[in-house]
Amino acid sequence: MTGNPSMKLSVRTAFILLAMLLFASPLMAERNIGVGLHLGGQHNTGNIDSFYQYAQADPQNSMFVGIAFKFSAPFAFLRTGVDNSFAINKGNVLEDQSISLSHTSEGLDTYQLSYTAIPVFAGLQFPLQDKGVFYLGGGIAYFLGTGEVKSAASGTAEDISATALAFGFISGMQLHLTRKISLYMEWEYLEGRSKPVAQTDTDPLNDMENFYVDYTGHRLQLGLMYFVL
Amino acid sequence: MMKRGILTTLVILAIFTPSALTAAPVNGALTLHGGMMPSLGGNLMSYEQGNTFGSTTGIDGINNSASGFDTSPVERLLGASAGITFKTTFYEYFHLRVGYNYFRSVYGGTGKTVYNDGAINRSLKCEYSMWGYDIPVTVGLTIPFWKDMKISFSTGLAYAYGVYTYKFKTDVPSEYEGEFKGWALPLVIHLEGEYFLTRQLALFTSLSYYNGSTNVLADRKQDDDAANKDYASIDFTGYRYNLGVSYYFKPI
Repeated sequence: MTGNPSMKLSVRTAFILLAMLLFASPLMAERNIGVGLHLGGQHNTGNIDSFYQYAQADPQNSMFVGIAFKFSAPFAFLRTGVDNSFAINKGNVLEDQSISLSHTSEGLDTYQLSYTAIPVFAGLQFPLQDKGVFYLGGGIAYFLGTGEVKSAASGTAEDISATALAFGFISGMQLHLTRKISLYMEWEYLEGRSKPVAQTDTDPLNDMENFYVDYTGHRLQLGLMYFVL
Repeated sequence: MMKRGILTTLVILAIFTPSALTAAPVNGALTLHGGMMPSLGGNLMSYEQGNTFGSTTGIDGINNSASGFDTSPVERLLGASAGITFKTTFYEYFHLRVGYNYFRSVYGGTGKTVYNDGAINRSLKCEYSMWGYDIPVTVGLTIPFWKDMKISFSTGLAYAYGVYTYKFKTDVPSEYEGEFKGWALPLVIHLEGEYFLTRQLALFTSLSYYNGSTNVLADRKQDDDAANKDYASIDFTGYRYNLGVSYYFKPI
């Protein structure tokens, strides 16, 4: 090795090519950037128990369609996306027990809520050879919801819209179907409530807005993810 | 002479201990972790909040708004935690965990609202906070995946101690302060994963669920304008997400 410049150049080129091969192929195999489409469900949308703890209610159920973006390193991930929910059934307050318990009636008859959520989660993931991956992360979500609440006293429905910031976690699993496509299933739990957006209280002296939208809840979703890189 | 004897003993121990440990079916790991606790303390309900301010659901129901009042939402507490856990694994598949976590509220709990005081609405400024610690002890199963990772699931109990305080200031003006201290033994379910960077060092993540609260506790502050003594329990129920680093005393 006496320092032949052309040989030095070819060795450097070989090193660069080797490095590119080493990094490029694991990147392809490890599925670094994925775009997913999923369908999910949520029971007790609006978490009516937190607002109306003395009532017997038939809670709202929702389904949602979402797009997921997942960025993965070998052991870490960042997961974001957009979810859009639709009500399967209206929430219905069947019996207002708060009156019999000598509390002021919250005065809610029915409610219906749909929302758009933008979650961002980050955490660790555990690749299971080339068969799949298990992941667990914490994060935050922004909710923008619209809906309708109907007062028991007046019988009139009022349109509402409410935003909130929520905190929680995601736990999921991907099963690789092909090199580019995976089936994924996720469990999300988020905690967040809006400011008061409507008045439902039947007490004429309470001319205050008291009803808030509670986005807290468990969400389960199933989808397919395509890996662009 | 004595120094030489001690040195010789230490050298012999240093040579033979690792091989003896490797042969043993027991391994130990120490984990340092930090995390988040959404909805720390639950709805933080107390008797005074219902009696004076008309909220039967604590921090959730305290939120009202009315025209002519400047309000801002009082959100549930978000907790942050830091802790250390010692884990002993037996025959690779079984483990016992003992930990210590310190936690406190870092977000939420403050804001301005309105309450109905007879025939008139009044402004109310709220401040909620909570801190505490817990010592979880859980036993469970571990599944190792080659030399790359371990996924563990365990259940058990925790000794949890908490201090919950609130301060309400009305435009009368009057002040209500409460402080509650107590302990409980919540049930714990714990799921964790470790991704090994080397055979002894791993990245750690976990999800725990605690379920339990203290008995009803009496307010320890009596220097406020409340006519009655306040009562509340401290709720440790909720999810905790953690990230950290584990060090195994012996290579896996």
